[in-house]
Amino acid sequence: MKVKLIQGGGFMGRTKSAEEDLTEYSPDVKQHLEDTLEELQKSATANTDSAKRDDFNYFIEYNGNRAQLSEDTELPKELHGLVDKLKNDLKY
Amino acid sequence: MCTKNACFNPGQCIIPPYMTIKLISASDEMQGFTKLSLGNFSVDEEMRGRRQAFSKITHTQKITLANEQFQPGDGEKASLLGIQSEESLITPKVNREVYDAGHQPVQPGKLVRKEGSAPVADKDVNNVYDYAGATWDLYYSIFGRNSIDNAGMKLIQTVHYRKDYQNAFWDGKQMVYGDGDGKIFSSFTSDIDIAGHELTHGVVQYECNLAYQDQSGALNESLADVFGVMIKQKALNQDVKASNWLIGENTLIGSNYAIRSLKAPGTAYVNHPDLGTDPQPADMSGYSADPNDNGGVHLNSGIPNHAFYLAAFNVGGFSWEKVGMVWYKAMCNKSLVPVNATFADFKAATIAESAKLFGASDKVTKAVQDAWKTVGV
Ligand SMILES: [Zn+2]
Repeated sequence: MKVKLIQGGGFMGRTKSAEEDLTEYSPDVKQHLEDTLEELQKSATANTDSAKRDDFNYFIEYNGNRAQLSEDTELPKELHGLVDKLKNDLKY
Repeated sequence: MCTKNACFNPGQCIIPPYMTIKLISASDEMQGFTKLSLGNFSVDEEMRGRRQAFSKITHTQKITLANEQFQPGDGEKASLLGIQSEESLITPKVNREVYDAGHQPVQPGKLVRKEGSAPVADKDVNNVYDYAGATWDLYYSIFGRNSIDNAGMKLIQTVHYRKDYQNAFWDGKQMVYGDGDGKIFSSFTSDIDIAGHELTHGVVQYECNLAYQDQSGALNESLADVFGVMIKQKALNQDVKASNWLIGENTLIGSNYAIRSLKAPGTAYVNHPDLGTDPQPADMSGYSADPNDNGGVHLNSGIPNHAFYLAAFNVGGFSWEKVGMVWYKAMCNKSLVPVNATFADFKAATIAESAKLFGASDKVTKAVQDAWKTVGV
């Protein structure tokens, strides 16, 4: 199973993305990922409510689910390494 | 492919900012009041000779004039000048502050230059200071607008945001600029039109406040590009023929690349090794929603961008004099341009405002109508 991080928007308006295969990751990381996605979907607010313009939009896709997060979203520490790796791997 | 016939980057440009940016001064007092009862002056005459006309009237007339100043639209606040002292009435002034985030995710950061202080060693700081001045100057001298909120709002900017940050944004209160990665993007402080773009998001916020989604979001983006390029043209004193109509020509690294083109959307960069080819459509046949970018706000902005270019180019002269004025009036008209306005709403607003300013059968109104028709709106 793969997880995908998508960066959209920004002044350029072009999408970047990165994927990571979670086969070798611990079940703990996968569970945190599923829980986080569920939480993010529940707490999702319309992006248009923000007064920010040209900011990046971030989305995470896993196991058929998609949720939006921001650079300020607090993630469980178990996911920090994974998300940092995905951010570093982002490509157009 | 784009061609770059001018730039505003002090490191690369033949026209340094200090020669092209001319902020309001005592001798330029009141030059911005463009649409008011100046005797029998026509709009054209006002636009050609605002300063000369103003210098010929008495002090009392100047005060009367200010109290009847240009009313940008239904969404505009009551005249700021009408409630100020005579002294402040005569000389609204730009007020800028530039902060350094030190490559951290902090805002605003450490104050490094404020209004009236001398240039510093950091060219990014000086660039955005000058660009904000040029932006304030266009809005004030041409449209009679005193800053983002038309009430003298301080222009706050932060540079060196995060590390290798490949973006610039408006956060609702201030502008923020990243340094770029040095490979695809240089510093986002490299282009006056990008600063003008971000500051214009602030103006939109205080006027029609277009929702940042789908067509209204693309209009929001387009207004930021339209006024961004106008600010560049005004600072460089370029007419519609001299301008290259590019956004971000110094920020996207490579002599044949820019971020967007109003003249030819879809050609700002072609076969870029990392980015491929500019996907912006020039007309409605290419409209598409991008779920990762609020329904394609930076994509579909190419359509109204191109409508502005076509109208301004066909009218000729300086873009800000006629078609720019029409776009400004439309942007400030909340009843014709609601928060969720479509391209068709904005088209109707520009035609209505042009008819009010120049007449329904004038060539400007005809050019605006033709431009929207060409882009399929
Ligand atoms: Zn923008």
